[in-house]
Amino acid sequence: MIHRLRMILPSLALALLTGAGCVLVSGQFLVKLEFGNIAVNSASNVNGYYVDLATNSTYNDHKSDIKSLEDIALLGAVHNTGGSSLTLSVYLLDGNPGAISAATVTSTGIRVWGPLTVAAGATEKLDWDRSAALFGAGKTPLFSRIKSGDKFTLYAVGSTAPFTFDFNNGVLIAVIGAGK
Amino acid sequence: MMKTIVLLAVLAVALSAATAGAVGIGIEPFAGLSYPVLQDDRTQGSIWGFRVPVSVVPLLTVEPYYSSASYGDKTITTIAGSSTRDGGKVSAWGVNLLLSAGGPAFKFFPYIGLGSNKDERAATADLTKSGYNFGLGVGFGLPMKLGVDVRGELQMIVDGDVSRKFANATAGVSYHFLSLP
Repeated sequence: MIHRLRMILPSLALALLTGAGCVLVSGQFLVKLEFGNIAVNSASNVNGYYVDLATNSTYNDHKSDIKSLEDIALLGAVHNTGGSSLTLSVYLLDGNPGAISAATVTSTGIRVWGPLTVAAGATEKLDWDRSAALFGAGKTPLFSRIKSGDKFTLYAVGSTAPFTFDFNNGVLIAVIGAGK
Repeated sequence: MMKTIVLLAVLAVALSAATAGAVGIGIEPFAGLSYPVLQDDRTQGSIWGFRVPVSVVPLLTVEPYYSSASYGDKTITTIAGSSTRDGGKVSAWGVNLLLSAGGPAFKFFPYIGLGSNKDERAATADLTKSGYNFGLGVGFGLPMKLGVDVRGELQMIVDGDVSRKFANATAGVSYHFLSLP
């Protein structure tokens, strides 16, 4: 009887570990890409931030094992240099389209972040908690690019022209779930 | 599904213990530290909870439990300055199975467990997932049906192909209020 009892726990532990599979060898890793300052003006073509994750060592360490996008945020500060209130969103376009019009960004891109409202002349600081909440459903298209390693460009634009703002000290951070 | 399994397990334990006629039931509040393992988005926190050890047969204890852990915020410094992510809170309830060796004064017990875990943090939808516990503990018997348990365990919350893992170190004081021959 005692021998049988002693066999129960190891057997159950083995069953649980087998059921757990590869999840035991997994973790959540922070990928950080700093892109600095971008000035945006609807009167001219808009520059985006070209994201090439292959330049990040943490991403490279885990790229073949990525299973999930646990968290993502844009950090920095948005200073509205225009004369009216700004409602800002970020769009994703595949590849590196370069400087394009705001209308092209909104018509061909996938909206992944926002909206963020910034009063005329004001500056809004984006911290991690606040920014993560603004991604919402945008995590799904981003995850597919992050998992596949496809390069993409993020454009920040206002919802209605004219707009002009500075995105200062911009940083993209992503927490990826990776497992063997 | 997970809740049903745990409820059935608890029910089965109660019934089997009653039929076996060798029931010992106690309650054990506990507290300690919880360390996120390979998680870059939260830091060390505290954990507390309670367990209800039910001795079914000699050596074997089934133990429904509840726990709640609060984690430290993660702060990173970038060109944007210092930025903080809420560490969040993980609450869990489930059942452990303990295999004890030793006597009333000192015992040693490996254990495994199954539970339902809820991971809550700011700006993220709550995540409720199944999880597993694997641990080792030592227990010291005290007078007046009291005891002290010290445990180390790995708690693993499974979410698809990845998991959130925590290393927990806890100490608890148990009181065995029912012991039938």
